[in-house]
Amino acid sequence: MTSMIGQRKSRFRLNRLDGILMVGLVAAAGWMWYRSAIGVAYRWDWPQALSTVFATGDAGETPFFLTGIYATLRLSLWGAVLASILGVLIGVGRYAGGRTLRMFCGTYIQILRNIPPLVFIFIFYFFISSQLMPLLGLDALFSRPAEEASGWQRFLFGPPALWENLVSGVLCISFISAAYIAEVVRAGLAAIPRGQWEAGESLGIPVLDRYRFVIFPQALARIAPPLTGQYISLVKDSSIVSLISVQELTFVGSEIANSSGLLFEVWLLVAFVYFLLCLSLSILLRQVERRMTRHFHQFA
Amino acid sequence: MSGDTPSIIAFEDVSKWFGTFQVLRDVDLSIGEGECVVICGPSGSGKSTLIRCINRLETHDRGTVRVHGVPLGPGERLPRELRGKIGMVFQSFNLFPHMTVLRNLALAPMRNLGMDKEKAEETALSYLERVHIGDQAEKYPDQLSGGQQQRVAIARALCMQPDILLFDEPTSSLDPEMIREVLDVIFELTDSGITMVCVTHEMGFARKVSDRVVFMDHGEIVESAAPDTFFDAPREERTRAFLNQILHYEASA
Repeated sequence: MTSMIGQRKSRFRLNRLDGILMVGLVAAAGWMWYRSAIGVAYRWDWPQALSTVFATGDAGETPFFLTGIYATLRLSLWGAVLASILGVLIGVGRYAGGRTLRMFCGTYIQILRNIPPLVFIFIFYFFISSQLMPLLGLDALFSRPAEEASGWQRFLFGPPALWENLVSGVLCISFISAAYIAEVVRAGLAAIPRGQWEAGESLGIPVLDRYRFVIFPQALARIAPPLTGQYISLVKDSSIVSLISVQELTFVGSEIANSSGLLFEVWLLVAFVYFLLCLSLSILLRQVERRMTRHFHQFA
Repeated sequence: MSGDTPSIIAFEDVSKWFGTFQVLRDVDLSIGEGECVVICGPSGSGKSTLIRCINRLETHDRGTVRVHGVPLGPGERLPRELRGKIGMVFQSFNLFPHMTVLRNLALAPMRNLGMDKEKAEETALSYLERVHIGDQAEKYPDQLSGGQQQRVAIARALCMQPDILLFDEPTSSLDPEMIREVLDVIFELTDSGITMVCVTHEMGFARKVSDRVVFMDHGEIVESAAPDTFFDAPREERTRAFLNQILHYEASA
């Protein structure tokens, strides 16, 4: 095992091509800097931007920008949880279901993957969320008085006034992401050698336990890299629900940018926060992946 | 051959097709309780398919397979009461790579028989001792040699205390120096009372261990005889041709 990791570590050495590329890059950057210094008359004001972004409300409320970050975190977390559940169900249905179930799951995947997320979100929001939710009486669930929410609920789901907002966002994000996760899951299941199923079957391990103890752990180790990519996409894609007024990071950033006029600074800050979130997520998931694949040399 | 003991496995006029290719042709075969039967024949002759029809990893298309007296028709899977009672050892071991050896063995007794963890692991250890690798319990399959892995697979099958044990070319993917240790373990099982059906090309093993050798070719049973008769005085021309081919180098070596 150690030898394999040793081999995989590539030595960092620059060759002549790297040199040429770097010179080219530096030249290009210098040229653009020179051109933009003439062409764009933008006055940077970072101190103002930072104080605007982190300004507390009049009554000492959490800065608007931070509430946006929290909302994005909540959206991503619950979106990922729901997307994983749906994705596994649909992926298993697609892999092991009967003809009808396979077709149903396949249709879901094809529809969600073949329309732009933005269009799906508008359709979902205007037709399903704003029509169906009141029809089913689900909106009553979220319009309880704010005092009923406990501290834990506030921590996990944010301010009660925005719960319905959060639910819409989470549903949108996870419905889209589930389609991709389902395909990854299906591919992961299909990659498990038939002998593993047969060994489980011949030992008389009940079929659900076969999935749980034999197949899923191995499939998960194989699909960990594409799954990591999917979760990172999910965090980034959560920005599009700003268009249905979910008050997450992008929504908040756009509000602050427009009201303060500090467009570049605020958007760069927003980008920086997304970058940090996604980078930490990918580092975290890589650690998890390492732990899981310790005994999968033959797959590496 | 099996007339003196009640039959535990019986094929009655069994046929099977893969598409238009007929893998099994009207197979009739009865195997007695506690018997050890070796099935041999050229590749593609239907040996593996035949034994996979016993534990229903494959289903047949015509005829009846009786296991423990339970008649199984075309397409029928294994009924609940027989699940786990028919162990199988595969050519490619098929150990669960993400579990320790001990857990590989304990899983089925825990999930199928409802054994608690402690009891299951105790049983597992005793079977590991029996295949002479009690000291490897905490290792993962990829840390073992092929021969050790196959012995783990045998112990894993034994943990379910099966009445029938099927071997599907158990030594075919092993390096030559490891074949012996696996065959020895199988040999040691012959007095356990477990009915054994073994697909193998190891003719020396067949002669020493089996009660009966069955020769298959093109999906049908060509000859079925006690090992001495089978090797020394085969009745059928096709059997002789096969034995000539397979024993040629062994004899001249």
